[in-house]
Amino acid sequence: MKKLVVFFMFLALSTPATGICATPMETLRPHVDEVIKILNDPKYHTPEQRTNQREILWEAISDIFDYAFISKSALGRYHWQNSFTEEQKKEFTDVFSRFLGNTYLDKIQEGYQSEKVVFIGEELLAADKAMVKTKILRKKVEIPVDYRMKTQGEEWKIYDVNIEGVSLVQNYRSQFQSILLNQTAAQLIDQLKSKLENQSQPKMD
Amino acid sequence: MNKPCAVPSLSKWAGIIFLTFTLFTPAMVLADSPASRATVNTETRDDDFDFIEEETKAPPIPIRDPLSPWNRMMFKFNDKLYFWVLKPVARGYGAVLPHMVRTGIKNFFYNLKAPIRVTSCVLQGKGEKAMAEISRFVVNSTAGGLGFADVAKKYPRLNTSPEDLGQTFGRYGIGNGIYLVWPFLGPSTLRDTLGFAGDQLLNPVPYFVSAEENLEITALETINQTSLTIGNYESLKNAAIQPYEAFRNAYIQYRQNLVSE
Repeated sequence: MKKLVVFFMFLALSTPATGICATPMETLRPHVDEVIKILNDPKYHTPEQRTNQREILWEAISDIFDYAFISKSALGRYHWQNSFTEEQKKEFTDVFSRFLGNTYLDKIQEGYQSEKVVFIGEELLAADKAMVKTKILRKKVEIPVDYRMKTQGEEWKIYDVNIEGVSLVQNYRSQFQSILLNQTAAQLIDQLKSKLENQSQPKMD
Repeated sequence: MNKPCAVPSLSKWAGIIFLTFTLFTPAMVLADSPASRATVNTETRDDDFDFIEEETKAPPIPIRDPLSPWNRMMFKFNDKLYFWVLKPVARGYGAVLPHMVRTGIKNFFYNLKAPIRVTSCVLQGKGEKAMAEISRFVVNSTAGGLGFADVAKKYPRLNTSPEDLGQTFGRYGIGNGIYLVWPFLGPSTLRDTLGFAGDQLLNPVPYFVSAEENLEITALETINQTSLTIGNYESLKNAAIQPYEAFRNAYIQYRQNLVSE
């Protein structure tokens, strides 16, 4: 029994995001747990508390994603280097990050079906690159979700999410490339903005 | 039960379309593959992009879509079909039948199609997986009451991802061919369409019922399945900026991943 207590104390001391020595999975897990905790918290289960809940969810996920890197790789090298001015790059990164965050939160806030997230394992792809494999368990279905994470020495951040084998970054890249075939960077940013505006309004299916 | 009355003409259409594109594909493909144009500009170095590119061992091949006008039309058709017909019907259906019953029906149909999966396992030389599929079929057909209960779910070894002929062809090194969107059936490729047609020969249902009954059964299965997944299509579509491109890319990635498994 004593041993067990010591073990748990050790666990409690070692898990918090201490940065440097945390593995990708150790970095990700508290964030996911936090999201599930907020979603399960009855305190937020009233319509008035929805916006409140969303803000708190934002905080829980905001610093685990590398938005700048995601935006850049979603545009791809060619367009990032040739189609966007410095200012447009900034604007795009800002709008796209908010769009992604909103999409993600919409999905988990509305579609939440008291699911569980199981961490399957992690795989180090290079010294600065890793993949954390998880599974979302719903009543009857399992959805494999893999997080691709990178580090620049300090902490691990997500730079792509694979859902059932579909990379989100690649998926957005294909959409952006199609838009940029016959439209300008400014038009793309405008499209994202109007999408974002539609999102923030409560959706009546 | 609503009968999707446009379905019978589908096979006729399919024949015409097949003919059309087998005759004209090569020329159209050349004219319409600009998606690959905007890929890599190696003149300027950027470590971040090196980081991305070194990891993608096999960069995703852009899918050829010479029939894009037709495909877009069908994409729109399926979208309307979903929102105007399928979803309301599935809602009503779901309101009448409890979740458990609907899951049972889903399990029943899934179990029935074991021959499709077993065959593809065998054709790919996946003996262990074929055995798992067969065991699962036996367990669920008996202990699971004709497959309504997925009792095999308890045994992780028996829960394998479903194989099909499209994946088998992919395993043999056959490429996607061109992208196709079918009315009612949704996104596919030339390879997966041929695979799907072959799979249907192994679907036992049509051998036991009349063509009309088979249509009704297919409609029931579709509505049942939809009633269990309402909201999925919406959230995917909501996350997209260009829905047509988003679904096309997601389909190709999804299948590529299944083939490589």
